[in-house]
Amino acid sequence: MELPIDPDAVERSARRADYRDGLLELFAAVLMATLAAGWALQPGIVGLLSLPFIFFGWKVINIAKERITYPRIGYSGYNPERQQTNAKGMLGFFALAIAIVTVMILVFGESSIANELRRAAPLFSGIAFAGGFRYLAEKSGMARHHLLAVASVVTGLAVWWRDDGNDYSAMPIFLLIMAAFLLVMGVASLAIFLMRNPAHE
Amino acid sequence: MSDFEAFPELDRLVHEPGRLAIAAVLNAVDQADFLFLLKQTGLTRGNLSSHTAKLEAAGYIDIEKTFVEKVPRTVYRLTPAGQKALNRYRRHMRKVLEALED
Repeated sequence: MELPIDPDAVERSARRADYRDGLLELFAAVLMATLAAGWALQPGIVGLLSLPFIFFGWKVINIAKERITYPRIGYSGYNPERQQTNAKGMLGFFALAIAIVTVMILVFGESSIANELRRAAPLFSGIAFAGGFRYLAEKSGMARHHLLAVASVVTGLAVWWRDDGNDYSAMPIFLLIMAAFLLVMGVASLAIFLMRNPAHE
Repeated sequence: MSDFEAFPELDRLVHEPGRLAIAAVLNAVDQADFLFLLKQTGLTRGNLSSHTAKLEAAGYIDIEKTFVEKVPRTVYRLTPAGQKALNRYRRHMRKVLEALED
């Protein structure tokens, strides 16, 4: 026997509503592409490049939501402090994973250990990202976030397996592939969201 | 006390499906506006207004009128009393449903 309204199902639906627009994926795609460019140009600046995303990223997402999401499905949110902490935590997690890999490679210089670290960097990042996407999937309950977790591990493994560690190309390739995944998912989610939720009159 | 005796203890204010849906939505997110509640609960504008007014009168929700970029936004929040009432209702209802299944 069930209640005429299942409060648990209503709560789940309300929590997921905020993730349906794909804006978080699009923003993460920009972050990954920027970091990939940083790795390709000068690995030392990757940490620096990620700072604006950590400190101002949530603001950009909020502005986009005010214009795209809230006029269509209405506004919902955690109180501003919790919202800011969540967004910073998520972006900080991704940036930290990349920063650790960068620092380790810079510390070990051009030794053979550095070659191995360079090779393993995409694999390490892939596993770390999978943790982030799994956390997101727990919150959103969306299959696409589970898929992203699997994709990041598979991509990390594939790039690690193909790379010989002689140059810095593995990480930019890994990040670009992840950016492409995120971009495709973000655009598809946004398109579906816009089709299903026309602007409210 | 038998499990069925929990039935009269049910909070009638929360038991009404529309108000239960509003409380559940506001329990999931810290705050929401009128449109979000409208979309999530599937209620009509009139019903939603009347239910939110009753919940506010009971002290279960807070209603705050703000402006975002010069556009008015009415934000609804579940109060600690509302949260308590929802949790209590869920406990009582679970007991009743379990008793019906046995």
